[in-house]
Parts: sequence; structure tokens; C-alpha cells
Amino acid sequence: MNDQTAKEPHVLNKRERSMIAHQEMPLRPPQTRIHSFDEVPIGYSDEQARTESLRCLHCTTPACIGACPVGIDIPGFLRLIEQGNPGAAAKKIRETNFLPAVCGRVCPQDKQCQAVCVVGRRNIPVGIGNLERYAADYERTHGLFEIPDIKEPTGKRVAIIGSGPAGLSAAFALAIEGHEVTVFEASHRAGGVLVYGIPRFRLPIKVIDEDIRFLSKLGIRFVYNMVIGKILTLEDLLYREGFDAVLIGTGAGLPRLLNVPGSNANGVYSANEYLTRIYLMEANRFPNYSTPVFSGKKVAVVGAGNTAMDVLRTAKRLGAEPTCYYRRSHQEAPARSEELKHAEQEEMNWRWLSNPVEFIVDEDNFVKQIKCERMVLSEPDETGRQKPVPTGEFFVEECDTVVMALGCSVNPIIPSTDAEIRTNKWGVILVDPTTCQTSKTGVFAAGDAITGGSTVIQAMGQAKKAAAGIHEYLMGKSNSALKA
Amino acid sequence: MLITTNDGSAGLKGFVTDALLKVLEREKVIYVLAVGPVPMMKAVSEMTRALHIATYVSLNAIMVDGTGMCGACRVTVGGETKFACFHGPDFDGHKVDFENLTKRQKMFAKQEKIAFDNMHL
Ligand SMILES: Cc1cc2nc3c(=O)[nH]c(=O)nc-3n(C[C@H](O)[C@H](O)[C@H](O)COP(=O)(O)OP(=O)(O)OC[C@H]3O[C@@H](n4cnc5c(N)ncnc54)[C@H](O)[C@@H]3O)c2cc1C
Ligand code: SF4
Ligand code: FES
Repeated sequence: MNDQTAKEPHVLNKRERSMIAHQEMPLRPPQTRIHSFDEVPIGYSDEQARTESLRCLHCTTPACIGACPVGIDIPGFLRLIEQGNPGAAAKKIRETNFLPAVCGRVCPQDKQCQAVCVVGRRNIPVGIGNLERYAADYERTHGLFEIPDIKEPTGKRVAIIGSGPAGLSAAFALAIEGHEVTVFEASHRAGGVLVYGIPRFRLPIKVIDEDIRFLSKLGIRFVYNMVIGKILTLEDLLYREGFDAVLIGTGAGLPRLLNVPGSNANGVYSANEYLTRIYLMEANRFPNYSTPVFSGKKVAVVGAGNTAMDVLRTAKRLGAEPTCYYRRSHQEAPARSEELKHAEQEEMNWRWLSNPVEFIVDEDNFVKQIKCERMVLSEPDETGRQKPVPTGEFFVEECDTVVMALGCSVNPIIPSTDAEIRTNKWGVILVDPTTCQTSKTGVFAAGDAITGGSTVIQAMGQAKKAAAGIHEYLMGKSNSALKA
Repeated sequence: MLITTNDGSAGLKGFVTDALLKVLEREKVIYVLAVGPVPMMKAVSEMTRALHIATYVSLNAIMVDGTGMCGACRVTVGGETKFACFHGPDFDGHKVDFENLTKRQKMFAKQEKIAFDNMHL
């Protein structure tokens, strides 16, 4: 540590603070990390964390708080780290975000708090995400988490459908208010995309499981292997099972697929299927776990978003030689620059401006080749956007597995089994923007189900709003369902 | 109820289609529902197609989550891709692409054997 930071922290003035060097997050090197599913960022040391926290200027009107979807008191928790009290910092974060260890790892801080941090105007912004992670990990590894006070039982019962970030956040908020909460989850494990989609090398499973254990300690009941809409309907929950309110937090898990010859060939997966087989069903440990996956040698990944990067990096860890096919150029790749960079460090093959038009199969319908059309970018239109235009030129490459990472639409099971739930033409569930109540009285919705695919923290922010809406509804203050 | 077994150890010796044929000869049938292995559902659908009898089949495509989240269970029905778990599992048997389904059912044949052997039953 340099001389300035050795002084009593609070006497550092803004100029001194702005001279402190940004602390890089240490990463495991690409050559070794591609051989395991261990987390890639190692985490700040105590000293690095303190040094980085000292870079905050404690603005009078902190822009970072406004850019955080759940409004974490960022300078407040940074100050506690600076004072050498990471446990208290974690407690401060938990006032507004009960999944800090998750969010510190997976939130797009570069588009939220860190994008507006004033330090970022001239320098690298304060590493808010890394510090959030540091505080939460410190709390977990030191066993400092305290179960918050729960209000007197209200006698009201709430059913939550789905245990992704939206469902879990709402369950937490409602349990604290004294309501009796039951979470219904289709799969055998809670967490939603956190457990079935986001790779372990970005989010270790112990981090999520720990948070779910705390929810159980709050008296929240989890019912697994329960597909609402198929086994029980919304009507069943409200009238047969006697729930006073229901929250739909079923996410946006309907994968989009290419409709080209060979799309339904053997060995052609959606990203959701590929990732689920590996992370939720542990196919990488087959046959000790009984779900298999083709971990071919040549894995063709279609798309260049965040999910595509997760698939490429997962395939690499299964010993494959993955290739990314994308119909636009490197510049238009929708993945966050950080994700793209990490994938590039791990040495993938890249086929930019390549639009898959066919998956060529063998006699048993197994995919063996991918055929692409070469594209060029058009002149920029009025909005400055360049479109990929076909050239009529094709190429064929070998592959034994194809994974399509083309995004998702909203899970349709519940809206399709209850006519009162209204959706827009994309299947997104419509809700009242202030209460999150759907068009069916007593039924609320939050998360990807009402946005069509967003982020963990957005889902949590909405769930908080929905929980407040449900609380008001239950306590008789407001009971108007979505009208228009 | 008519029972058929391949070896004749119970009921009629033969396939489901043999029993179905007997019923179709005996009485007027307007609707057939087939639930069971893919080759049986395929054979039933082929038989009733020629006779223009409405036929539904309950497809047991390979599934992972059963909520529409993964697309493992996709089947081609009337030229369109459908998810068996969510759009189905019951479909018009005359529209199902049984050839694709049969091949998809064999996708993990090798791994199924390994997993089975590993179970130490
Ligand atoms: C591969 C991948 C990587 C991602 N990476 C990031 C990232 O780095 N950062 C980030 O912020 N966001 C990321 N996201 C997006 C983020 O995960 C989602 O926005 C978030 O999980 C949405 O939360 P949710 O609670 O609405 O839904 P989900 O997490 O999808 O959870 C929905 C839950 O509902 C269950 N369910 C569905 N239907 C039913 C039913 N009928 N009955 C009972 N249960 C049901 C599902 O099994 C699931 O557990 C990623 C998404 C994917 C797919
Ligand atoms: S914007 Fe940056 S410098 Fe200002 S309070 Fe937030 S983290 Fe600190
Ligand atoms: S089993 Fe996953 S979508 Fe049907």
C-alpha cells in the first residue's frame, strides 16, 4: 500500500483519493482455468479491497446509487470496507439486496453503477462489483450472516411460482413481513438461471446454495418438481390450496431456435439444454450422474451474446474445440466486452459475418457439418446501424455438436393455461407498473416473465416492487387488478 | 379390454395393431388414442391414416425439464417444430414426423447403455 492509504482513511481528501491506483481483479490464467469449472476471478485480497474502496470520492449526490436497480447505498458500504469492516458492509448491502455474492459476480456493473461513477470520467471507475463480492464473500466465509427479524405472522399465505432471482427475492421480502410463503419450483433445485444457466466458473454453486439455506431458515417452504400450469393451475392455488396471493416468477426460458434444415438433428441443442444438462444435471460427471450430453470435439456455437460466451467457455472446459458463428461482425457482438474478452483469452475459433443456413447430418440424423453463408455489412442506415447482407457465397465446416444461443422468449405454460392472464404479442405477461399485479386479481408477476429477458438485478428490483404490491393487496389497502 | 403380448403369454399373440385391426373390423371407430412406444404409435397412425380415423398419439420425446425451457423434446408436427412437453404431449398422429422422432429417441442410445450398466441393479 502506498503512503497515502497508510494515513487515517477519513482524512484523505478527494485529490489524494483520485491518485490511488485502480486494483485489477486477479484472474486465474487461461492456460489452467480451461481445465476446470473453478471460478475465474480469484477475488480481492483484504488489502486490495481496502485500497480500491479508498478510491470512492463520496459524492454529495452519488450517481451510482441512482443507477443501481435496487438502490444499494454504495458509498455507504464502500466506507465500511475502507474502515476495515467488510462484515458491516455486507449487512449494509443486504438492506436492499439479499443476493450480494451473486450480484457482485454477475451484474453488468459496467452498464449500471460503474457506468456513471464520477471517478470513471477521467479514470477507471471504482470497482463496485468486485467490492460487493468481496464484502459478501467475507460475510459468508466468516459466518457473519444474521437472520433478520420477522414480523408477527399475518395469517396470509402466498404462493411463489419459480425460484429464480425474482421468486427468491419476493419470497424473502414477503417472509420478513410475516406472510407464510411457499415456493413452487418445476426443477429439483432452487435458483433458476443461477443454477441451470450461468456457468460455475462465473458463479460457484456454494454461493447460491448458501443463500437458499438462509431462506429456508426464514420459514419459507420449497416444493420442488412442481410444474404450475400442468400439475396445479393458478385457480387450484387460489381456490383449492387456499393461497391469498400468487406471484409468477417463471422467467424467460423458451429458447429461440434457427429454423433451417437440420435444426432438429441429433446433437443440435439450444443453449439452455446444453447448459442445463451440464450445470443442473451434472452431465460432465456422466455416468456418475445419469444425464448425458454430447461433448463433441468440434462444437459450433451460433450467436455471440453473453449466453454464447458461456457456452463456448463451457465447451472448452469439456475438452472441445469450440467455434463461434455470428452473422454480424466482432464489433456488433452483443456480449459484454468483459465476457467477450474472457472467451477470447481462452482461445476459441471465431467466424464473424457467417450465417448458418444448414446443419448437415449423417444417415442416423447426427449433425456432422455446418453450412454458412458469408455476409457483408451494409452501409450504415439513418440510425447508424449496419445490417448483415448475404453474399451468395457459402462455406462448410466439420462439427459434431451445435449449440444455438439466440435468446429466449417468455415461458408460456402459465399464460396458456389461464385465460385471465394477459400477455403482449411476444408472450410477455402484462402487469400494473406500480403494483406488478397481472390482469387476474391476486396474481402478480415479476422478473424475466414481465420483461422477456433481462438481468438478475432487474428481476430482483421488480420482485421487490411486486412483494410490496402483494403486501398491500393482502393487507387490504389495494386490490385493483391491471385494467387496460 | 384387449391384451396383446409379443409372445402370446397373455391375451392375443401379436402387436397392438393386430388387436386394433380386430376392433376396426368389428365396429365403427371414429377416434383412436395411442399411448406407448414410438414404433407402436407410428404403426397405429399409419393404419388409421388410410382409413381416415382421427388419431392422437401421446409423445414421449426425450425431455430434460418438461417446462418448455430447453427444447430437448422438440418434435416435427405438420412441418412445424413443437415442444412435446408444452405444446403436447398429445398430437395428431397423422401429422407427426415419426422418422425424425425415432432417430431423436436414439440420440443417447450409447450413453443410456452406459448409464444402465452403471446402475448396478
Ligand atoms: C446462460 C445465461 C447467462 C446469464 N448471465 C447473466 C449475467 O451474467 N448477469 C445477469 O444479470 N443476468 C444474466 N442472465 C439473465 C438472468 O439469469 C435472468 O435475467 C434472471 O435469472 C431472471 O430471473 P427470474 O427469476 O425472472 O427467472 P429465472 O431465473 O428464469 O427462474 C425461473 C424459475 O421458474 C421455474 N419455472 C418456470 N416455469 C415454471 C412453472 N410452470 N412452474 C414452476 N416453476 C417454473 C424455472 O424452473 C426457474 O427455476 C443470464 C441468463 C442466461 C440464460
Ligand atoms: S459515483 Fe463513484 S465516487 Fe461517487 S459515490 Fe458512487 S462510487 Fe463513490
Ligand atoms: S423438455 Fe425441455 S422444453 Fe420440453
